[in-house]
Amino acid sequence: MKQKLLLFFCLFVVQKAIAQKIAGRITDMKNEAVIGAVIQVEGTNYGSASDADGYFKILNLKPGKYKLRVSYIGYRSEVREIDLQEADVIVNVTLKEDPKNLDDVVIVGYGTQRRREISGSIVKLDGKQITDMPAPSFEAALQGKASGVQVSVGSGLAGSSSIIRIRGIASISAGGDPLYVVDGIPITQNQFLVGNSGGMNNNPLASINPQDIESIQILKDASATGIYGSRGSNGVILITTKRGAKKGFRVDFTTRVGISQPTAKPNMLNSKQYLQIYQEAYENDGGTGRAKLPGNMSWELAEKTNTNWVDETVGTGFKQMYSVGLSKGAEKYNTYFNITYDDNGSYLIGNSYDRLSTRFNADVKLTKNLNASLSSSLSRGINNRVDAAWSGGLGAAMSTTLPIYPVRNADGTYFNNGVNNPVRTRDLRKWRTQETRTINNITLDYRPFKGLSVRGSGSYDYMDLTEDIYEPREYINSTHAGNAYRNPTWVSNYNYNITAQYDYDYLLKSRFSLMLGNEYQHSLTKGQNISYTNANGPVYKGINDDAVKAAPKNTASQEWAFISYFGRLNYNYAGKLFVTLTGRVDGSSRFGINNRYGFFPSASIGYVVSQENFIKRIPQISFLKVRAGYGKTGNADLPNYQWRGTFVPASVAGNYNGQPFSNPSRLENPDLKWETSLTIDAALELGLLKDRITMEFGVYQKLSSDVILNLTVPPSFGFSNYWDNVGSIRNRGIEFSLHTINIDKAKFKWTSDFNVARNFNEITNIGAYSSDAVSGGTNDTRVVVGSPVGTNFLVRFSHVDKQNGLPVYLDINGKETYTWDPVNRVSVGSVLPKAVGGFTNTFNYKNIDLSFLMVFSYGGNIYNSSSKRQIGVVTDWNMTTDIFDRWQKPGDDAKYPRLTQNTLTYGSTTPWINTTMYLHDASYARLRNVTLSYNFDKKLISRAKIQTARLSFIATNIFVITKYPGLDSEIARDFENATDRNMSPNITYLTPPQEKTYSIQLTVGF
Amino acid sequence: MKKLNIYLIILITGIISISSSCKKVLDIPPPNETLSQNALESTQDYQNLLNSAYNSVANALGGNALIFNEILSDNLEKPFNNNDFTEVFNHNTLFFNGTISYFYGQPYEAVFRANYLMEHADDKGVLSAADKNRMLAECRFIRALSHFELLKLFAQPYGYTSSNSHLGIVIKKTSSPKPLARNTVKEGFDFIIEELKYAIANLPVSNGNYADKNAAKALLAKVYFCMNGYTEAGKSNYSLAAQYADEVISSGAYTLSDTGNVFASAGASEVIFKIVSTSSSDNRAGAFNGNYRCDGGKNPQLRFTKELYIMAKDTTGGADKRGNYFELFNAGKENEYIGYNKFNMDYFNVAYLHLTDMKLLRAEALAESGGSLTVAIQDVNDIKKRAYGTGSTKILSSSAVASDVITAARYERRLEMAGEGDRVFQMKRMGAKGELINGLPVKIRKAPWNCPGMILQFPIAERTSVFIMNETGGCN
Repeated sequence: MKQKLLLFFCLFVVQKAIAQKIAGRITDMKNEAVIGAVIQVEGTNYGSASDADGYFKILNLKPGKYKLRVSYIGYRSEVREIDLQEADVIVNVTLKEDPKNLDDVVIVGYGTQRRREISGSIVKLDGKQITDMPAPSFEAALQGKASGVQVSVGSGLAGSSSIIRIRGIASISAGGDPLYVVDGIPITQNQFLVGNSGGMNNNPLASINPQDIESIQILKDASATGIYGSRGSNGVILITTKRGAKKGFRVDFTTRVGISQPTAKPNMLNSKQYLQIYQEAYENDGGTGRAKLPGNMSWELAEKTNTNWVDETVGTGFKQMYSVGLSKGAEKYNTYFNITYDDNGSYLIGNSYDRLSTRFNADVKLTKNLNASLSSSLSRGINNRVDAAWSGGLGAAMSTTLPIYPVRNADGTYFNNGVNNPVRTRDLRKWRTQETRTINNITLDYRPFKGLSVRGSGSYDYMDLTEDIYEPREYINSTHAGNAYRNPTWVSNYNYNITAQYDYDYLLKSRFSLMLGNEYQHSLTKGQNISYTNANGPVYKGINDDAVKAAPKNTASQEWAFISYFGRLNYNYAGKLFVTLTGRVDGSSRFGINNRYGFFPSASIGYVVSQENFIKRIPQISFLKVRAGYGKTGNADLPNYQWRGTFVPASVAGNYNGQPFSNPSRLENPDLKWETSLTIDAALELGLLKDRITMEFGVYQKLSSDVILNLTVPPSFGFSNYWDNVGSIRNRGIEFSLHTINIDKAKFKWTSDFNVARNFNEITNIGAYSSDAVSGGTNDTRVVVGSPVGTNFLVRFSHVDKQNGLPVYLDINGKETYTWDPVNRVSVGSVLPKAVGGFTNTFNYKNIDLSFLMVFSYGGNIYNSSSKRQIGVVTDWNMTTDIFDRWQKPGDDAKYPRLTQNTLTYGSTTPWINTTMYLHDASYARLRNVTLSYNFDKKLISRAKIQTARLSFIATNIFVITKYPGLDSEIARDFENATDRNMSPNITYLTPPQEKTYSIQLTVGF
Repeated sequence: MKKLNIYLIILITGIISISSSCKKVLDIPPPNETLSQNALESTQDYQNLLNSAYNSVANALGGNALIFNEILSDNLEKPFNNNDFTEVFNHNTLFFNGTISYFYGQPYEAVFRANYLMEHADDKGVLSAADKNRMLAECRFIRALSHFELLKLFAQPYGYTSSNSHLGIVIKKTSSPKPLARNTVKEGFDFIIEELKYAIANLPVSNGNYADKNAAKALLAKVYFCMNGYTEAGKSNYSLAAQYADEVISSGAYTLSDTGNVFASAGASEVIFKIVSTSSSDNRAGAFNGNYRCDGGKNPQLRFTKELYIMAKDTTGGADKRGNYFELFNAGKENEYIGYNKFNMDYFNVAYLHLTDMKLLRAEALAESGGSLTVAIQDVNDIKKRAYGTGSTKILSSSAVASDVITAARYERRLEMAGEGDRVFQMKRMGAKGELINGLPVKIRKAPWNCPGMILQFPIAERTSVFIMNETGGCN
């Protein structure tokens, strides 16, 4: 074979001197080279493909007349007639884009590809799809737009984070979120930098300005994410920021103002109702006379008081956003600048996320073959905090702050009988977090000669997250002015990568493209706790001279590093068969010494069948592609240092018998490593009726093993927790997306986008451990083999006994019992939905656009963890009006048992018991977004030198259709840790519902 | 092409230079923690590690190990308001019982630390042969004690089945984090005996507040004492128990105190092995004064039964000194209760092994095994004389027969060791021995000695695919 090739090559070279040739260049409308276009001489076997600069040549043709066909995916084929005589013929062809093709450029890891050439599963979303919707943080706007991407939108708290799960969940104790890469750097995305404070996790994505986003690519399968190796198995979200226009100068101005309201308000009891319920419970328990009220309240005062605490904590939030973008382009450079101010008030009184951000991106052609690009952003997000959920605020209004308590005492001071008065806390305690963040990248791209490009890229992502709290004298009852706290956290995250790509054309139709690269990433987190007494105000307002500063305490630092080598080989045969092979070696400081490096390969193939004649004969089919891939990826989002064996030093551990002691605190696990996922993926892409209907149907299976568990180990081990690779999880699913142009008239156009995905999730193994070895917080979600991650593991409630009003539970064998015993817990529900999807419709009539997005979720459960106190044993918690449906006398057929203040009545020694009484179907369909826009007539506005102007009315979360009786059928709670986040997303515990917003937006382009 | 070569060379050298340094680059140790490989570099480091195992033993013994046993017995009334204790009292514990869960981890933590030391004793060769020998023997003692206390609470007693093949606890001989199945009770006791024999052979005669030869012997005597039907080289368990108790007593290292309160400093001369409290801020007897203390208007969690109160206040043989420990509060009222003032101290040592126990044990063991009744009678009478005075009619005559000695020893034991968790342990032993009380098998309150709930349920975290949990309840 080798010899034959050599012979062929020799002939080729020898004949070159004597033959005529056809040569030329293939370009697109922008006069940029089209690489890999196929040039065929019709009726012969002669042909060629254009090279990296668009040039081609065809040799050895005998003189004569020929027809030359030039074709390339995404472009209309062109035919040129040639009369080849003694002299060479130069044929330059400009290809026009074929609008029916979806053939745009897609960002893949460390490079770009044309959509049709992609053999993996990637969804691309335009920035516009993100910016046209007010959301607490940009990631919420991904909901319903890509199949297989489940987004649980964050709560009503300003800046709250959504949970994104790509193709189910394959992690338990390791982070289950996709990897976020902004302009080439995996950014700091840890939601637990400051733990769970005030009923909220910090959302590191909230500081990213949606106005800066050019596009988002969601990488789903192993072929697409394989290039991210040990960090790709939960999917990768690539965010690319806007760059300057190629030519000219453009100014874009956007402003939006709006309001925020809760999607629902809790139905708490008023004072009279509460007292009645409380007294009834007391009498049911055999009490006589009047019950002693909580908070040492007298009946007299209680009956006089009726505070609606929900109204005291909830109002109408105000939102305003102003954004100016400048874009300038010339032959040798282009720049983009943006400044945006976004004041995002929530409906919780006193709560807002206020972001000021700037960006400067530039591309410069330094020499003929050297390009430099810079991406740089600086933003400051100020979150004016209020307590929520378990911590107070609306959470208190829904629980321990009773309607019988007044906001203020008769003397005007705040009511505070050992009770969390949310108004008092909000008014007196100043609390905010300020996040200063800069994400920067500089890239040099050198193309020394045709086919080779070498890129060097360095990025730096720095975050300063500073929490300020001020508690004045009146709040803490101090003799001095007050306490001021400042808790800064600094995260310094940088990386570099070097890649070299070489494109090589082999014979006529084959093109190889090989990329090799190396990357290093390092992140260091440090923090401090600083406190002052006798302070007159918060630290950010300047500390008074006579304040007393305590010695700052450093918090434990966190440091990690990755070093990686990777490569990708793309093969393109005749623009219809595409093969991609990727491989990555990842080493990480987080991996145990026995498993320092892991290798992650993937392979995929895509075949555009519609390029074949037998399909071309079917006029209805405009595009048909099949693709399949297989690969191994990992998840390395486990805590640092966990593989190391450590001791608590004697100076810290303590004394026994007056002597110091020192003990092992963590047992070394030198084998600790990434989670491994083996993913197989296949899909069919189909375009019908000249692509008026396009659809994609995909199936996948992801088998994850070595799943990392933060095990509550058997106490006989002699220590309590241990990180180990123990479990296996299987995700299988089908995805379907459909894009149709229903009406395509000059004045009226209607398009629809629909997607739905069904995922089957199952834990297949957790080693020898029990379902209780890992728990999702206090919410009784457990790891049960044969059930999904985060199955609700509850004692079954059967009914209320009609005769005595007691709750009847079922034991493990289904036998009825009055006793609540944890031994009877069974796997009864799943916080993961079976199917999720979205349906978008867009109508354009003349200058008016209308679009709406419905999102839906089917088959998941919500566990309302606060109900056990709101509709359970009567305590010092306020209750919801659901309690009216209670048993009162023999024969009553009631939903809830007879009232009691004694937990033993309900068969338990504690009110904190979980049963299926509070497990609900979480299926819903929600009108997420409606946007009505008017595009001003260009002729009209051009007089004012305005190119485009658009006025929109935007409404979000207008209504929801659901059987769920609680506040919000979609919940992203505050979480304790990654395990909790993976296992208990749809558990609500006094969680504020999402916001409903109405906004007006004006976009003007000059 | 030349240019290409240059670029490739630059790229390759770059990558190689990074790769060569990357081993270091990825070697990031945690801040503020000592890495295990640097933790054991001196004799003091090892001593600190050993001390940490003792600290866990202290948490167990000064915590609820002995308290749980007392609550299971017929000495106490229902706990005042502690739900976890009430479960124990009701002989029906659930696997979510946080108090049991916390306790259960402590002895195993001690075992883990002891195992860790044993596995790393030779790591850097810093230990002298003598130190190493002593430390290993202490580790073995700690392993024996810890497993013994767990077996008492979480497994049916020795003799519950004739082969003792009923389920015991997990025996942990290594620090390896591997889920294990429960061993049988026989395996458990065999292990404890082996450990204690090693400890006896290698522990020093005197070792400050830490385990010494006598401590290991005293513990072994207690272990044999409860092993109904066990024989070793032709000797019965009682004969073996008597032998080891005798060695401890005759060592002359301990003398009976006047008061008999081994928890107070006045009783220190009796103590063979104790948990040490050094000050009120370092009180390691928290479960005792935390639950029993009844002075200063404290409402004790644990209150004694009227039956025991009447027994202690009996004056037929002269006033019983031990009656002074019992106090009747709110007499005649609905909230009447009997408090126990023995632990009314801010801090004190927990006397785990002491001479009173050894003497009563030797007496009963000698009587059971046909040994010297003279010695046995003397042992019982030493205790009696202290309690009632030398002229008391309760003093045994020199002609007392074995059964008299046994009855008398048990009577004194119940009063001497009230609050120490000894009672239920003895009753289970009697039950397993097949003794009858009023013609019926031994009952503890109304519960048969061997009903499932007489032992505690394991914490939920212990459950694995190879670990079988206990039955609960079944005692009413």
